[in-house]
Amino acid sequence: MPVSPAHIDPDIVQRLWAKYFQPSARELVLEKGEFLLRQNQQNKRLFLVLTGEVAGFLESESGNRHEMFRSAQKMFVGVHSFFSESFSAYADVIALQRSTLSYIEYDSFTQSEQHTLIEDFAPVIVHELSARQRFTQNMMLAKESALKKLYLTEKYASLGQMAAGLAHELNNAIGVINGNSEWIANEVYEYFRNTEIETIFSYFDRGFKTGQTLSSQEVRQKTRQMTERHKMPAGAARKLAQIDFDAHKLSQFSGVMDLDEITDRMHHFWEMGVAIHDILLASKHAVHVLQSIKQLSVSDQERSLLNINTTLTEALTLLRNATRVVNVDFRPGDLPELHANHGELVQMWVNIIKNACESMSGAQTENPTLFIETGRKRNAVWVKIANNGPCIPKEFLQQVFQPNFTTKKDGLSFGLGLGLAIVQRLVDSYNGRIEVKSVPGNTAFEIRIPINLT
Amino acid sequence: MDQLYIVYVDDQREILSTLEKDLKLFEAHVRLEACESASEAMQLIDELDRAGDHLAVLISDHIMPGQSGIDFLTAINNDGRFFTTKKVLLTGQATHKDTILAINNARIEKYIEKPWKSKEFTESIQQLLTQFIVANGIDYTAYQAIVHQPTLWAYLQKNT
Repeated sequence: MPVSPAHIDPDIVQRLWAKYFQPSARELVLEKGEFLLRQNQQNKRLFLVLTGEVAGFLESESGNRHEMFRSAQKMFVGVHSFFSESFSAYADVIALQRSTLSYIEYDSFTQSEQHTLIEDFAPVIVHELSARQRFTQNMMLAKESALKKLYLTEKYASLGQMAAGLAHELNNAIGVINGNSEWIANEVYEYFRNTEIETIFSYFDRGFKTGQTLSSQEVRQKTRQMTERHKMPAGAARKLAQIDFDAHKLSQFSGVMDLDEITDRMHHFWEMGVAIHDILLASKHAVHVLQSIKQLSVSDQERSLLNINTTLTEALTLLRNATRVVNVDFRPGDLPELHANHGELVQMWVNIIKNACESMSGAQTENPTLFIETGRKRNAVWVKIANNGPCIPKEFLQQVFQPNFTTKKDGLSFGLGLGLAIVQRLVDSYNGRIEVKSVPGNTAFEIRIPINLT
Repeated sequence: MDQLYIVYVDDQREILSTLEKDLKLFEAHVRLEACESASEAMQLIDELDRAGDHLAVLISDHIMPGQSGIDFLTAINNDGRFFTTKKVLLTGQATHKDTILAINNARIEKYIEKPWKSKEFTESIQQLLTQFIVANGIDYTAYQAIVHQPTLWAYLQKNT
């Protein structure tokens, strides 16, 4: 970890240089990578860096080199071995670039000179001590934040594994349901087509192909018409209304058969058709959600050429429940394909969109709307995800991307505070940028991802 | 006049038609009405109340565009006309807080979780319907075929 060199008061350096270095100064030049000192080597010299930069390294047991300090122009090296009178270098000191150093020898001073030397160098020694202390502190902080990151990554990874495990568990069950429902649907369809009279089958066919097309309100209206105009009992009228029966055909049936009986039969077959239609739809949806979850699992980091608009559509499907209560205004632009990981992108959109929906529903925003727009600008693809919910307070704007920052602390709908931190991490991994702007009634996240031209 | 109603509210048609199948056994005696939103349901039950009919059981989903299920059921709970109506929350997505609100403010009689089991659902509705009938002094003999026998028995034993 690089440490920015802390400078001591230049006047002090100037004074010390004039008094001790200038008269008997000897100089030496180090090429980049050359050793000035080796750990535990005897050293009775005090160095002053004139040009260039050197750094001290300690070798850990595992053989890794850790930088301990760094000294640039007008900084001293060897303070520890010189003034502690251990005369032994405690670290390897290596030139980071071509450097010139001036040095004095301990033995060249008389005993009384040595005492004044220590007095004169007191500020340098203290400075050195405090610099090392600060350095250790920084190291600790860096370690702490690294640990935190690791902890979060692990938390995220285990969530991903859980999701993947769940998907795997459901995979076979849903596979069986999906495959067999398609098969049985076709079998039943063929069977009815061959055994039922055309009139009855046509209602099965319609229910099967289009599901329930009339709204509950339309059904009620039609029921009313049937009962009023055709003096029909409410039960039968409702059935005919549901199957969208053409009242003009009523006359065809009069006298031919029992109207109640044929109504029941048409309705029954229509209902079976609708049921199968709904089963097929629901099972397709389940398969789709499952696939999306699988793509989210962190184990898969493969990148391939893909269109961002597809990943947005997929995120919206995943969030169908959350987006059901908001208007979605999606304007996909014409985008080039991008070299990216499908799951990661979907995850990014899901996190942003979910927040948007939750913020709007939490604040009971009137006419809640989610705007999604994509486009290309020069060598980048941009995605804008905005909503007309409440704004993010100014004091939070800086924090929203930090891990563990969350405003969702309400009962069971709590948040881990990881959503946008994950987004930020993923955006970074694509060398992209994310920006957030928020005013009341418009909060917008804009993500730019450079197009990899290679 | 005096027609009993079961009204169910959900913004997804597939759910409404599944509910309708589960409620089929009441069809001959009780009017079944599906609604796709709380406002639509409100309009409907206004009408049926004006016609002198009874809203016996009201089943509602929670997460819907417009008014939420709990808000809707709370409004019904505070509406003197539907004092004895049996209210059911049918949902898969209520949070802990929602559930508390549903019990305290909407005073729901039953909380049914999606996905529901058809048989249990039907039996619950049967129970609630029977409770409504006896509580309102409606002649239960006309509903002999659909009442929940144990509930009716318990009532008769207590009141005869």
